[in-house]
Amino acid sequence: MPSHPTLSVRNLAIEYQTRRGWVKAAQAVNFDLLPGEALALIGESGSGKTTVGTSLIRLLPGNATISAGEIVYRRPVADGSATEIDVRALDAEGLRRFRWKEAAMVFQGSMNAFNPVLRISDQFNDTSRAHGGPRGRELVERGKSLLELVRLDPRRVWEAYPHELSGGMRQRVLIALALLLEPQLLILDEPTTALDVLTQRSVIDVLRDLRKALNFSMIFISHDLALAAELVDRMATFYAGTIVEIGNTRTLFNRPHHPYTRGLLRSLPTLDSDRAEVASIPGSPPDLINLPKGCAFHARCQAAQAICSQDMPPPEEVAARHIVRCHFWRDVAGAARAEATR
Amino acid sequence: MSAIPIKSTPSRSGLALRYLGGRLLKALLTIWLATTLTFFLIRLMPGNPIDIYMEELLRAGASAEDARNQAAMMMNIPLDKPVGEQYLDYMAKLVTGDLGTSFKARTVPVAEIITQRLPWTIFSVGSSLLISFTLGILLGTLAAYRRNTLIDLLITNFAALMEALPAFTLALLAVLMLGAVWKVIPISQLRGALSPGVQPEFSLEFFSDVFMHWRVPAAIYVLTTVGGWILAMRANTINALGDDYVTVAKARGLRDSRIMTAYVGRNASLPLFTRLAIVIGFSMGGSLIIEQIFKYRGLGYEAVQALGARDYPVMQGIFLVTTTAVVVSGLVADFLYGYLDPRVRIKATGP
Repeated sequence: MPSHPTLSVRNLAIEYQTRRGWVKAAQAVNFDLLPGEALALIGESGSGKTTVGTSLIRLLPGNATISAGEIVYRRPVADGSATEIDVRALDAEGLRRFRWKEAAMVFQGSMNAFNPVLRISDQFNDTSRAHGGPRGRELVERGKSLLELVRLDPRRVWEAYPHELSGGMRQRVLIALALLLEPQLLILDEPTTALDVLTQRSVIDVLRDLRKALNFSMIFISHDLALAAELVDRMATFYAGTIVEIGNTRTLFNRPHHPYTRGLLRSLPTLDSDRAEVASIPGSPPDLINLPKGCAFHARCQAAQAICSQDMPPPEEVAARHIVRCHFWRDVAGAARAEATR
Repeated sequence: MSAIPIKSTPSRSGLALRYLGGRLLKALLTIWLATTLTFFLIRLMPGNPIDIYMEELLRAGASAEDARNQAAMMMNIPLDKPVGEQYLDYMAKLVTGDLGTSFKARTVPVAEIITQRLPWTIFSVGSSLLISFTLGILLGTLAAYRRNTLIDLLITNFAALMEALPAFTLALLAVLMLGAVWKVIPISQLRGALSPGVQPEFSLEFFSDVFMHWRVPAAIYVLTTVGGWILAMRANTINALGDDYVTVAKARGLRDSRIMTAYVGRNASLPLFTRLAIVIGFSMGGSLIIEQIFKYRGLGYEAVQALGARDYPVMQGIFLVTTTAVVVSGLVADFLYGYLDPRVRIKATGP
């Protein structure tokens, strides 16, 4: 059955107020996330991926506002239909209840994610109490079994203070805590960025196992395309605050339709291809206060033509659930195929 | 005192004991050094008890003859001994707990003066300090949560003004304006810590009299110290509000009240508790100026009297109390911080 998407984002636009003016951090962002699906938001620093991720639980900093669009979250009910929650319309108490119970977020660099003066068990307890979750013995059992799920020793971690744990351990504790209330949506913002390669590996493995076991929907925010590809079903590449291409991981990897996605892929060193060189994308991202006319990527795009600096390309569904914003996606896809078969 | 709650593995508690022992030894050494220094320093002050007593008698109209005779009665004071010998005598008595007797009121032991005065100081300064601290935490938090609003502006400016205003200025202003000009407080009745004839007993009369004498000096003390607490708490709270764990706590859907108390408040007030413990130590010497202006019979008042009369034993006794209080409160502050902040706990006791 084609079930209701857990999350639908429509025409989302987010702006930051700065001294220089309004920064258009995200605009015309659209995507659906199906139950149990994992979607990666990929892009350079400042491309708006974290802003979009944070806006899903409306935890943007004080100078940011969601200026347009819809964020609809759906919780399935017994008869196969779903209760819709309009995240933008939630009041303070509604938002508090929504956070963590429905959508939990694991942050970038969780070194300081925990209150330094409370034990891990207290922080589980705080979270559970705030949402009427399990208490007492039940909470201890559930908490400890979650810690085991993220491959930590509950005897060592449960009663520990945050400073007694390493960065990688804290990151996994936060993931365990995120699953405490069995949310349907887990948002992970660069969860492995501050970790060494081995710890990264174990966090990714933990996440993959958890998803198999618990079947939640996941949004994985990362600049690391290769890492994300191991974990997710679908990918969305962000450029200058908008999704320039979204599709299945396999499709995006094998046949990118947008020059930016293709550029990102070509910037990856690979062992299994005979590509001699790693290519970078020349230039730098545009100023988000004064966005260029037309396609935001045209100044750095090798396939750009006159129309690219005039008209913003519309989103085109080039295949089922594969959407691209490029005037010349056919050429790009063709070139990618040619390169792949060479 | 189980100030450091540690897991009872033998090696750790052994280490903790050794740490504790080391700290206590250092504390004793500090107290001894300070006592020795005060002993010699107060004897270097110009004038000695006998000269000052004679001057007093002469001014009161006694003949030079009488004055000399009366002063001679004080000659059982061992001032003619070499200072080194006096010091050894003093220390020998001190280790047995004997603080000596007052020069001026010859039969009164110093210990008695201190036990009479100290409770009033502990009561008046202690209660004012706690009020000031609590108010500071609350107002500082409020200002931080409402930063850059009118409330913040009012609180912060009030705090800065009060922090800049010396206690004696405000105390004299209160006496002058409230007492003499507007006559809102009966300033002459307010002198002292109790009205004449009121006995310490468990009665409404006693407690209301205590309150009446306490309120004005206490208000002055609170007003002139609250600013520092407010400004420190405001700055710490603003810092804590920007910390990651507060953002994560919001994402976890915790109630604002829980975040404000256990997450922001607890971390922001941590350093203030250390400062509180130390200030309590210093305040045991009494508030010299406020007690003097309001003739509040605390230790500070007594210290000024003893200083004027060069009453060495009383001065030494009071300084000893102050030194001990400061040293002990420093110890308490350390252990308190270890108790409140688990990160320090490990550093202090760990291998």
